[in-house]
Amino acid sequence: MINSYLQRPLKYFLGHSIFLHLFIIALFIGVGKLLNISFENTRKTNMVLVESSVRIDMVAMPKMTIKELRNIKPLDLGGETGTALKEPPKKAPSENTNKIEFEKKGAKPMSFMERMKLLAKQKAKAEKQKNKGKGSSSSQNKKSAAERKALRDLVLAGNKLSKGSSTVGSGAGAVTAFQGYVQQLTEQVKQNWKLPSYLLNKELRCRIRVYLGGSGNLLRTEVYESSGDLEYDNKAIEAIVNSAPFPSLSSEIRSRASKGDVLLGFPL
Amino acid sequence: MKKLILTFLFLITSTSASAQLVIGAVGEAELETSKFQLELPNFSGTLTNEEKLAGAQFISIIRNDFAFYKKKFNTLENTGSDGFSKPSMGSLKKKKISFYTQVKITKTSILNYELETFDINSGKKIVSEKGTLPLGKIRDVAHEVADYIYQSIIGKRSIFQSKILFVSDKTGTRNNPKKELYIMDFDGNNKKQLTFHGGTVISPAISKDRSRVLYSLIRNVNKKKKRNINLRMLDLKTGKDSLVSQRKGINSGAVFMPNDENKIVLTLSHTGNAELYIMDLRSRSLKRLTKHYSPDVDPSISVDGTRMAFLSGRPGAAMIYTSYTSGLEKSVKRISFVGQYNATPRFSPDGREIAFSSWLDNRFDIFRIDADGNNLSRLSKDFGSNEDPSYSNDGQFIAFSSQRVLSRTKAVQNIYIMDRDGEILGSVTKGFGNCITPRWTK
Repeated sequence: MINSYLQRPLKYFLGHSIFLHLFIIALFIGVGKLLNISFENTRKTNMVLVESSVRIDMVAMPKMTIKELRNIKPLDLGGETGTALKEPPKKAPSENTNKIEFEKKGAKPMSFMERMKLLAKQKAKAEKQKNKGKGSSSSQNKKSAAERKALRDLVLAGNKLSKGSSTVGSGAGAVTAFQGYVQQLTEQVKQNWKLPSYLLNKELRCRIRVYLGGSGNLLRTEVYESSGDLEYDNKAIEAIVNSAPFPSLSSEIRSRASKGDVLLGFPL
Repeated sequence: MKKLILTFLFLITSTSASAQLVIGAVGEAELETSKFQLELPNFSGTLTNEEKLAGAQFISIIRNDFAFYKKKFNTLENTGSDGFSKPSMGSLKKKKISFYTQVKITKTSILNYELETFDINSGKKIVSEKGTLPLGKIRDVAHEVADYIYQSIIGKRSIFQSKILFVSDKTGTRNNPKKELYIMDFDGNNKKQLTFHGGTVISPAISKDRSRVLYSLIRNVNKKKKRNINLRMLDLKTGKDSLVSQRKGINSGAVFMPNDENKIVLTLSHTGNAELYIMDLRSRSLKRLTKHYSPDVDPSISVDGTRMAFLSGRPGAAMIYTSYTSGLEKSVKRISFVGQYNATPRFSPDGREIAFSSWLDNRFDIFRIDADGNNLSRLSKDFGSNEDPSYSNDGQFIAFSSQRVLSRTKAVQNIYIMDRDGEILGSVTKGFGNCITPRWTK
């Protein structure tokens, strides 16, 4: 038996040996690859876990005071909101707390620095005009309007929230343009929502339906759910009337607003 | 075809009509400013001019007090009194006046006042007060009465009877600088000098019952060895001034424990590094609160005495931390993560927020942060360099010192009051030297 093996030519053994070695190597590579894939998977899941658990807040000392922030709000709502709301699915602010943000600078039409420069230029121009002492009141108004727009753009650029790569969703992306508009409207009314002391602690509640025109003008209000106290209802309506006009509406939400799809709850 | 288009149109309108109403929650309302009319006094009896002036002053002090709460009250100029009888509610209601106060001043052997406040909306008399009005104590009586009216309307204590402790260099000269301790009414009147050391007083504190004052003193001596920062205590009732701690290095930043005024929290550096301790004033025994190789200074204790805010150099820059006063390094938590140099964290009376000053744009400004580290907001801006915030007893106001640079070699510091949202109400000191480190009584 052994003899018969020994009598075989070297070629036979060589062939078998090469085959065996290649097989072993292939086996190693195969097993390695499989292991690698499973490691890769674990790594990926770990990364996802880390992403969802880490929150990066990049904060600096606030340059603006509470008062300034309050004053800029209505200006902020001035009209930019219309364009901002036109692209809700992409740029809707994600309110998830679990997110890592990487801002892509190239994607912006104008960088933050450019906007700053523009603003500075406009300011310098305005000052020159003043020094000349020639600028008529109307042109100055135009200037300040342009300046305000630049500032507003700047503020919006600074406060932009990217969508983030949240792994846990709260459905914030589903905020429609109309809901976004109502939210801003609510903020505006909140500034004027005041009650005398004798109505403050009564825990009353009412809901007012609001009808708006295309430019954000108030068409009419309607008590949807009364608090039972006429004065409370009137104070709520007063808050809405005093807050008007509201930001102008984009064409797709105009019809809903004019039909009175906005309901404001005081307090809820 | 027409039918088809019509049904199609109908379908579109019906679907959009059935779209749900979107509800926006406006939230809780703020308190509306109430119109508050305070009539000029009604005099009866034969009064001297001086006494008439005193009566007018009595009213103007009350009016000035209420003017501090300008978000709550709109105090009206008097329209001329129509006697001391029940006012006509109808006409006042028409003028949208919510509260109406009238005062009668009579003279027997001494001045007496009689004061009534009406809530116009309910038609009820909510205050009816009588008392004497000694000429030397008009301010005290006016603040007391104003506080009583405020409490009857709002249901909480006002700041009208509070006082502010501060340090001024008024008595010093260029060659002999002195910084002494003073106390004044919250509105800047009634200033009274408390210390006469001829040295430099720093970091004062007053007990809640206003009977004792803690401060640190650096004496003006030439020998460097003697220039230690020692902690002293002044008893305002007996006038007794005593040394509390003279360990090597810093003995300063002391504050009373609000829940047990026989205990104080202070900064000591006798171990070589500034750390915070609780000291029992009776036994003078120490209990250590912080243990870290970086300095921990400037403690502020919440009103219930459980929590402490302090400044620490742990992260490499001065940052605000909180911990519990019950033990060593107990639940130390970092609160601030930004700011080039933060200083003087001070708890609000409700313990919900901390006011502090921070270096930004080449000056100090006042900021506010929630005690859990949220809602960092800036309060002062473009208003000189602002330091040393101190909350009022009701948490609605913050006193701080503000520095104005007049020239390259001259600057003036005064104490200002703003509300907790940064609305500046004005300065309470003026022309009284450089006034710094305000501490509001709680």
